Amino acid sequence: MTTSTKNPIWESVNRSSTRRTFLKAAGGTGLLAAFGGGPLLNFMAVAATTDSKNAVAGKWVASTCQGCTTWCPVQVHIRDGRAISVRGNPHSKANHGKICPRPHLALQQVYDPDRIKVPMKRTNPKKGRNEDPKFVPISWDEAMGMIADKMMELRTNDETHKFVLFRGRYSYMRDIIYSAVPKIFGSPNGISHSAICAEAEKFGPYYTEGFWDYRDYDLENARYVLCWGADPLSSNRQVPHAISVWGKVQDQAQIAVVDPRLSATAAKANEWLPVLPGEDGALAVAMAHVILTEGLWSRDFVGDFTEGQNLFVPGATVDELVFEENRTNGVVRWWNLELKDRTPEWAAEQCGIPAEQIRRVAIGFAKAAPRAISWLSPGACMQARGGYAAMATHALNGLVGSTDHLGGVLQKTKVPADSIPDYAAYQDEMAEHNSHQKKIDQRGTLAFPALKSGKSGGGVVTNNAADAMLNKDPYEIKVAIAYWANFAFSCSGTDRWEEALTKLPFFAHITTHASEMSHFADVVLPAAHHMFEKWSFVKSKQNLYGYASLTERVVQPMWDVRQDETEIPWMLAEKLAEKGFDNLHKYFKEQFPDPETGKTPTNSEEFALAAVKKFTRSHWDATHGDYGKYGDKLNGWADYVDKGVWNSHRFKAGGVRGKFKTATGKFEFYSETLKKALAGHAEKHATTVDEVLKATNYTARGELAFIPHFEPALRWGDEKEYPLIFFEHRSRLNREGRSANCSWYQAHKNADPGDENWDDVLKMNPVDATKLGLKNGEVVKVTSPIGSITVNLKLWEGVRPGTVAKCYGQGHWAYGHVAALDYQKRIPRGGNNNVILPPEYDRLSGSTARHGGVARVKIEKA
Amino acid sequence: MNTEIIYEIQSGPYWDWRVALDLFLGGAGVGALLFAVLLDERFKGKYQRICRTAAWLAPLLVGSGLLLVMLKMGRPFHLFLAYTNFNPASPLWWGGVFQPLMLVGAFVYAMKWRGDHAQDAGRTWLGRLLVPLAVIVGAYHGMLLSVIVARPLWNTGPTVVAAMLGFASTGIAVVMLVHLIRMKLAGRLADEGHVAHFLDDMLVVRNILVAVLLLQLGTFFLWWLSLKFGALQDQQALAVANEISGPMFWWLGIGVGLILPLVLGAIAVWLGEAAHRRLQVGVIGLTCSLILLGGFFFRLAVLLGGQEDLPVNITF
Amino acid sequence: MAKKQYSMVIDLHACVGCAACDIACKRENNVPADFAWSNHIIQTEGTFPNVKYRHIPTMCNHCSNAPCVANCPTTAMHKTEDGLTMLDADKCIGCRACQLACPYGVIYFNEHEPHQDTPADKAPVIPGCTATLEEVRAKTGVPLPYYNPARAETIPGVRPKGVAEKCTMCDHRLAKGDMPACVEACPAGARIFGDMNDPQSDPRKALDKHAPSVLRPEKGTRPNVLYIREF
Repeated sequence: MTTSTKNPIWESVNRSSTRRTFLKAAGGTGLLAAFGGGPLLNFMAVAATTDSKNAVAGKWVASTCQGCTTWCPVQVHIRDGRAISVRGNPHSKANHGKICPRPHLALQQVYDPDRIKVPMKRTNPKKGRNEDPKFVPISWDEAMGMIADKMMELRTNDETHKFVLFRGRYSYMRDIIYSAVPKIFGSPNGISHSAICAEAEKFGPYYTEGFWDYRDYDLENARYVLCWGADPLSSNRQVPHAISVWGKVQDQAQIAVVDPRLSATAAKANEWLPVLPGEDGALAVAMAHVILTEGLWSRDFVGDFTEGQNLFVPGATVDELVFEENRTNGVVRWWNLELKDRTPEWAAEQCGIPAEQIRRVAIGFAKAAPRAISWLSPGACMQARGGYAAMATHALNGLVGSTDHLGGVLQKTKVPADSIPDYAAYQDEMAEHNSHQKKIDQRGTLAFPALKSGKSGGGVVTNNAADAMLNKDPYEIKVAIAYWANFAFSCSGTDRWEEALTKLPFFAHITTHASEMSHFADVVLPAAHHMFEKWSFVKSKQNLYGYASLTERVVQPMWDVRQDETEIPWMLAEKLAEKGFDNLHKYFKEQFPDPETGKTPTNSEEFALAAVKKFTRSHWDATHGDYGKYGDKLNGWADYVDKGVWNSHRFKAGGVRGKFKTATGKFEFYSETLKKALAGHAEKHATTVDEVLKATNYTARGELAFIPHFEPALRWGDEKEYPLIFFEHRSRLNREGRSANCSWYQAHKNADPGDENWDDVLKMNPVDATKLGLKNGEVVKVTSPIGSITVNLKLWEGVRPGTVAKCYGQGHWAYGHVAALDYQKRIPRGGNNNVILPPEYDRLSGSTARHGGVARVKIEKA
Repeated sequence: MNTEIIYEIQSGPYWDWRVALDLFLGGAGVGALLFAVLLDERFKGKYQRICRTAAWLAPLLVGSGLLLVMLKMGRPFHLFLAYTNFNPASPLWWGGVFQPLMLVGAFVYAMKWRGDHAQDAGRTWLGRLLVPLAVIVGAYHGMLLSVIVARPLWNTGPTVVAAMLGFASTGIAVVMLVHLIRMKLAGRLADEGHVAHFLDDMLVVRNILVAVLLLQLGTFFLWWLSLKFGALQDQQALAVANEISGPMFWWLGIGVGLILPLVLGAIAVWLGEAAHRRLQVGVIGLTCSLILLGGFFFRLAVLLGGQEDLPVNITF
Repeated sequence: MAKKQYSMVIDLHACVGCAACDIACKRENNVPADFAWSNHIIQTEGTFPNVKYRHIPTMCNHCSNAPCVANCPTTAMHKTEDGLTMLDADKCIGCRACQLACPYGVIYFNEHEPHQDTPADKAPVIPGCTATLEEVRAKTGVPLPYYNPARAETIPGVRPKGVAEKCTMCDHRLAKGDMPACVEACPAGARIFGDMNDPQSDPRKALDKHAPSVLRPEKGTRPNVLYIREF
């Protein structure tokens, strides 16, 4: 029963090769090994004096955690001017005062010694991964002056569109820097991160029920929870709420998790379906097949055969006329075109899940319906051709009538907020003209439909911007500003970003830490930390409540930082005005009077605060038309600051049924909405839908394009040369790839099933290791067709044979002295998955295919 | 079925070679003292020099062991706290009481060997008084480990017996070895008279030694048996200890420390009077060295091997 | 018998293994990153695809029959009236007998100065533009920027080199009527804390419903951290 090898007692470092059934002694070692001496004793003396009972007791103040996109309302405990603790905001109905592990880690982010203290500029003109930028500190004035000069050059040459603003994570203050700045300056290029995030996930519900957004889930009333790559106990969405009710969910519901890795949620589920990465679509259509053949669809939602007899017999075509459909569109066509042959036996071959289990789960799910949740997540659809998997998995909710039903999958309540004031009047002719140029990410081109909300080029194709910049297609980018983004780390095919940034003539990076992207910057601007140093608000939902939550400046920043989305645009506007272009500054001054005092902001901090108040006025200002209409009535701005959160009324299921914003107004199995969108895109390029599908690398042709259907997984690399399928997953400690520099992250990393503390292991099933002659703990080189990383091998039963898994978030060669093994030599701790993941897409949604086992790899002893 | 358990705790060893050396030196010191008292009783002042060697070795060894263990402490200067706070449940606390007591006693006893007194009633009585104290300290060295329920390797009766046999063998060995060296340096093999007579007289010592070594072998065997066929945790403890310090224990502790000396002893007996005197002396020296080496390494092996914790037997 | 017997009942069915407890504990008690007063055992059992994963939170069991107390030569480790096992750092001589005596591996010893970075890390990663831990300390005047001064109300806020440390059940919080930090931080409500001598207490009520288990019952330590249900 044991797998013991040798004893770790003699081994000084945590990443020992031992994986035994014994206590693994570790800690006290490795990077944090302490070295004698030091000034700590002095501080302990200081601490002792401040510890007197007379010390201020401290207070709890509100803010928001943006460690994942759940965006939980939190409270921060402030004592002696320092943030020392974090808890859930008790005023929040969404997370009801609970938080996951992430907000705690934020304390180590805000106080990280590796944060950038002051603006800095590059003194080594040569750019490249292997060039030391030789950053030196400069003043804010000099920094803004440098950026303004470069931007003014563009204006002088009438090429303002060659400016790009890259946006990573954001708050709802985003439109100031992301829209107003480029548009008033004269560029179309606000390029967001959305397409490396989860756009394919929104594709599914949009082209079935007309909802381009994340869904909410009625966990407390559900009787079956079927997770598609979703790992709500560990990562987005609604993590704290999911954790807090999971015991109850386990008591009253069956839980099945589709994931090639035994995820945190799979570990607490009744069924684990370790699907072959990228084959979720096959599994989903087979489940739909079972639900129909077993006669378990929702009669109420979908309708029924007029004669009552179930004619969904495997392999048999059904006459559309004999089925009377209710709130859905095209169930029989879906059956005839796709489902009739998608038997569990067929799917078993395709996706690696036994037919028997597929049947069991499908029947269990359908029998529990409508109190059943088919929970789609990026894992099951941020894949090459993943848009259709998103449709298929979400369509199950339509089939069993669990969409918009008690205990099912829900849309959202309205969270009102005022939008950015109209800036058209501040756009001069050059701005007006140039901001209508094509965008740099090539969205809407034949090969990149990016059909967000039904519109060709409606969405972003984030990761393609690198190639477009390199190819100068549609034009060259000369000046770029990026904020809260690290595309040279977070986009697959990182080498392209490194090259594009190397060739970029001028780049300013707004960030808390000197990250991979900063390494290529000419100017780096230190950003305020969102949770402790910044005024903003976000909108989100969980537990059937929508909410708006403030991020507040709860401590005085230790360093000379500015708020990225508000203060920095203001300062840039001031600088541009100084250099002769004052439209932006005028806009900020004239359109952002403080809603409380009516005063025009005179400096960046006043502007930041005025803007938040302005956008959120409907939450706290009784004179606003929307005040109290959709939820809480907060008693003025001070009350909002105190409570920190505005809660909507609770979502009531049932209101959306029959009012789906699709082309037919119904839940579409045959998506007229998608048909229209594809036709529109084809028309734009004077071609056919089939040609579009060919150009975008889907296998379907004809009518199949409009229904949820199986698309085979697309993988880079030949199976002979690259025998294993690589896939990645998220960490319950990831603050979106920004927490690897926290010692608490490293010291608790094994809270992610299969992972190891202070490491970034590649997880492999022992069966494969035996075949390859590899041992647990060995250092291995993982090579895909586009690159290789070197990491430690972990043998674990919780990963599917034939596949290898690694968590995203580590492998930083910059960011700080913990995240990087050697910052100066640019040696990463672990390996960044995006070095080996190819820049592949689900082109219909524009999404980056970071999941689905898009890369095959070979693994050798390093 | 594969079971992997990960539980990351502070890495050991919590007690390292310094503690093993303390156990070894302390044990040898106890043995030396008992040896001195025994010789004095048996030969009534006939072998004053070796007695003196033994008597002086006792406080020296116990003292240096104590010093080492103090250096191992996180806060050695707080040791006095053991004397202002009483915890009779803790063997370590008793050790803190008895070991210094014995050190003082042994030192006074050694002082009594100054000058050329064949017989000294006070010394004899002090020696007799010190015997139980020394035995307690010797037993303490075993108790210290054996009371720790958390460490199945140590938590046995043989732990105490082995420690006590250990002080007997290493005590004799260290005295004989040091005495031989001392005499060698002084240019005389044995001032106590003809070496053959000395060795003849020492036969009783040899017999004791052989008996102790054999008993120790038996004790180790019992120890091994009780673990090997004991509860699951005992078996696991043995397996873990074998992984960590098995070779040290079996090769150095048993092989070098017990088997070889017994073999050498047998050869010496077989050679008998025919053998050259020097050879015999050499054999004695070598045997004593091996016993000492083994005595240290068996303690180190047990100390290190017993510390690495066991599988967390999750019984629920 | 102690007047009170503070105890923790951990509901493994509710626990999702997120480690929020572990992190919150480090923060609350200014515990060095490489120590884990609040910790966990991870068990992966079986072969693909029949794999059972378990995450079992651990902490000082505050045993009623505490071997660390029995083996402490200076009574630094002692039982309180509330049934807690506490370490008086002033009396600790750093002999580590408690560590050896503890069958649960929950006691830590400060071999070095706590909260030190490696020498290589004492230099800023970008000179002039980023800081060092020492600089942050100098600016905040405390050993850690998020240093919790409340911890120092009952034991040293940061334990010095040469002494042991372990979970105190957040006695400084209990003194003010607050729950231990791990209890407050648990988003699953899996930690049920209270006085086991009070039949109306939450842990007692939990035990009325579910039979408890303890870690290593064969050691006879009588732990006061009990587990109910299955992970």
